[in-house]
Order: sequence, then C-alpha cells, then structure tokens
Amino acid sequence: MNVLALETATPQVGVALLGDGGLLAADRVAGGRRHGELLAPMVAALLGTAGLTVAELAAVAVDVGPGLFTGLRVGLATGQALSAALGIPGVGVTSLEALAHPHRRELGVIAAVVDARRHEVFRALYRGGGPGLVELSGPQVATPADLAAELAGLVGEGPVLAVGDGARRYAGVLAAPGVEVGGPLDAHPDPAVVAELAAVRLAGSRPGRGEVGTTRLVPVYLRQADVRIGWDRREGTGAERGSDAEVGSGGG
Amino acid sequence: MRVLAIETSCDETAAAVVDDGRQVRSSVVSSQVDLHARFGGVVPEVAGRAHLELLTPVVEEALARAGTTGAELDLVAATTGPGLIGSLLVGVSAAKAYSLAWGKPFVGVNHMEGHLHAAFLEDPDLALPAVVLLVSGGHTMLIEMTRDGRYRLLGQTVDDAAGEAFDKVARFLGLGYPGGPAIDRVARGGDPAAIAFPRGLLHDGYDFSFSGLKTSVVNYVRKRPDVELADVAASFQEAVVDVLVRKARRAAADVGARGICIGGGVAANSVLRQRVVEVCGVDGLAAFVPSRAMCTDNAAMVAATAWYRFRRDGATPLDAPADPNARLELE
Ligand SMILES: [Zn+2]
Repeated sequence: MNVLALETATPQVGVALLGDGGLLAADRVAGGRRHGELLAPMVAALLGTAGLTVAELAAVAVDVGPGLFTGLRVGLATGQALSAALGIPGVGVTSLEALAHPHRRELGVIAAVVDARRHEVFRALYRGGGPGLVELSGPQVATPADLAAELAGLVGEGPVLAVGDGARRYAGVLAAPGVEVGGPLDAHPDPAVVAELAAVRLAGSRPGRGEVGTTRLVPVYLRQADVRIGWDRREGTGAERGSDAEVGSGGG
Repeated sequence: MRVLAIETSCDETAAAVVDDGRQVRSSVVSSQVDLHARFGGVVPEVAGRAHLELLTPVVEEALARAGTTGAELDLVAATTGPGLIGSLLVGVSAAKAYSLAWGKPFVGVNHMEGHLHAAFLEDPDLALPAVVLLVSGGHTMLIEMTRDGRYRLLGQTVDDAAGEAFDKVARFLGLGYPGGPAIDRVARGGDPAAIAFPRGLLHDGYDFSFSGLKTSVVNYVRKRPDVELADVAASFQEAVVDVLVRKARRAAADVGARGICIGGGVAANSVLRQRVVEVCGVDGLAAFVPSRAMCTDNAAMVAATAWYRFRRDGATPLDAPADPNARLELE
C-alpha cells in the first residue's frame, strides 16, 4: 500500500512516499511563499524517483494544519483533487501531531508548537513514553508567555520537550529548568511522519490510546478568518493601491 | 478537444467542461456572494476558505453534468491570475493535481483573456476587428481585438474600476452588496437626467476615471440628505454608462472596428447592455452582448481560452505560479 504525503502547512514544502516496506522517497525544501509552484512538480519527481505511477497510490495524506493558511490550502486542494480523481482516501494529519510523533518514546511531555505569527503560537500537548502519543491538550492558539507558564506547570510530571518552529522562535520565553527546546531538525513536520501516521490510521491499527487528528481532508485553521485584511484586485496596472477599502470589489 | 477548466480568482468557485473551445458541455458556478455580503465586499481569507470547501464538489458536478470523466479529457486548465492570491492558489493547485492524476496537460489562463473569449462562446461568428469593453469590480479596460485575434490595450481606468465605483456608491447609499445589481434595480424607478454627475476624462483619450464621480455622489447626497435615492442611483449609473459607451463608440470609429463587445460583471448592467445595442445600431456596428452568466466570472470562458492558448503555446509547466497581478498579454 503506497501512501503519498503532502506537507505545505509551514514555510517548507515536503513530500514523501511510503510503501509496504518503508519509505520509498521523500523531499523537503524551503518553500517561502512558493508552495503553489513547488508542490506539483515535487510530487511528479517523487513518483519518478520511486518508479511509481499515480495509479499505484492507495491514499494521499495531507498536513491539514494548523499553520500558514495559504500554504495549507495548497496542500489540501492538491490532496482533495488527487483523492477525488484517483478515487483513493485522503487522510488528514495535524502539523502538531506530526511534529510530536518522532518523540513518542521519550518520557515526559512533548509540546508541539507552530509559529502562528502575530506573537502567537498553535500548540498541542502530548505524553510520550509509549508506543503512541497520548494527547493531553488538543490544538489551540496561545501566546508564548501563556504557553511558557503552562509548560512550567507540567515540569513536576517529568521533562518537557517543546518542538516546532514556534518553540524555536520563542525559545527564550519557553526555556526553563526542566523545559527543553528541540533543535532545527524538529522545526517543521516531516512529510514521512505524515505518511506514517496516515498509514497507521488506514490500517486500522491504533498507535495507542488518545489517537489524535482528523481522518478527512479538512483544514485546521484555529482562527477565524481575518476580515480586516484587504486585498484589492486591480488588474493590468500592477500598481499598488492606496485604497481605503478593507475588502475588494467583486462582480466578475 | 475536451477541456476541464477551474476559475477561483475572486468570489465565484467555478468549473466547466467545454469541447473545442466552443461547445459548452457544462458550466457550474457556485457564488460566495452571500458569504461576503455582510462585509460589503470580498474578504480574501473568507474567499480562500470557501473555495477550498466548494471546489472539489463543483468540479465533480461539472464532470457529471457534462456526462464525462477525467479519462475523456484532453486538458485541465485554471485561471492563474489576476485575482486574489489565496483564492487563485486553490484552483491552480487543484488543477495541477487533476492534471497529474489523469495524465493530461495543464494550461494556465489569464482571467482577463478569459473575459475576452467569453463573447466567442456565444457568438462564434464575432467579426473582427472589434472593440471590447471589459468592466468589473477589478478592471475597466478598453481593448482592440485585431483581425488575427490579437489584443491591443486602448485605455483603462486610472483609479477605481467601474464595478468598484458601483460597490462603493451602493455601500454609501445603503443599498447593500454587490452594488451593481442593487443600483441597477433601484435606478429603474429614478430619473437618469435628474443630477448631472461629472463624466471623468470624457474627452481625454481612452482612459477612465471613476473616483471623482464617487466623491461627487457622496458630496451631493451629504448636502441634500432628502434627495430621492432612485434619482441618485439612476444619475450615477447614467454617468458611468455614458462614459463607457461614448469611449467605446469613439474607439470603434478610430480603429475601424466592425463591432463592440462587452464583458465582465458590470456588463450585466441592464442600461449598459441596452445602450451598447442602441449605439451599434446607429453606427452600423455589430453588438456583441454575451448573456449575463457569461459576463460574470465563469469557467467556460477559461476553458475556451485554454483551448486557444494550448494550440498556440502548448502546455503550461506545473511549476507555473499563480500571479495576482498578471497582466493581459497585449501586443
Ligand atoms: Zn472577472
């Protein structure tokens, strides 16, 4: 069973192909704001490397966020279209469980922390030390200071490891006795992990009590749409708009 | 050649199947207008979220209504710009994925070129050269379509787009969103000659200006709060239509056009449609006035353009970006 995984919910673009015998191929690049340009060619190249055709895919797994809205929609639109066109299941995996999963055997608390911009983070808390993660607290938006206080309060229950680009950005706020911040390799979700979590879910075997995440390709935004951000679509001129409008005009 | 096209540049989630750039097998448009109405305009993040929810079902619907499958398609197309980047990316990403899944070439299409091709879908015998007036919430352009199907920009707005002026004035008058249909409706009970609103740049070339008109409406109503709203709406609409039609008519005479064509959401305006037909009758020109559904954003026009582009330029590489500021390729 071949599972294709897509990860575009963060500043990286990641793809992975998992076969019955393990990882067949994977690729991760810094995406910046170029998710829409990079993802489809990377999928095509990945299939080429693995020597597979799309017809041999059994499922498509997607990092559904939380993360960067525009980026995660590139992955979701791609995943939904592949799923619909190929008639294969789409499996959603949250960015936070994908970040925490590689540390599931470590004793203590794993905090997955994604940079949400605007001085906030998306975070979820898990307990490690078993075959699978146990969710202590699901995905939420928090300020770095509130998260720091929360993590400090958990230190009595064992060591705390904070991973993800949000943890690294606010390492100075979060670090405390008993609270360790993960390294750069843990900054973004690994697409191979996204594939692995999806495969486990599809096989019906549960990684342990407290299995988390969605199993449909539904975005996890955690924030209401910001209606203050406007974007006027003036066409042809290429000029910056000095518009007072908070919203663009519609109508064809 | 059968084309599936996707259009998500603004607030319509659309998909269509068109054969040989002419025969529309299906055209599905799911409008988000109700979602945005309470904000008085298109909110980019709201639009992006809605496109993601609606797109796959809209594509399935377009295929089902066309009675076809992915295997029977020859091309998969999408609007790559101009438009809202977060909205464009949903349609472009999905189209590239369908292209990969079905093994069919991908073709990226300029939204404005789509509007230019809309007229051909309903009137394949459209005589060239023609002057095309493209008017919507995001654009106001006067274009010459030459005998060999090339485009030349004659003029465009220097400030607000025509549709933007409708939206802003309707909002100020408390008529709701979208402004075009609201003003069109209210204006029917008013006198278009009641108030002489200014005609921006009327005698200066082919460029347009609508921000002064908007300001003039605001100032007029503030000074006379008990003025009849229908008269304001009708007089405002008359000022916009008058400028658009006079410039298109003059351009047609200058370039020796055989007809005048209109497109874009504002081309659904009843007075504009009627006036274009009238002046073309007087001047001995053909009037190309597409149906309202073909004037507003739709994917059939994108499919028709993709067919034309593919034959001329071939497929678009899968690493092509969505470009919110894409310009119409003019010669
Ligand atoms: Zn349009």
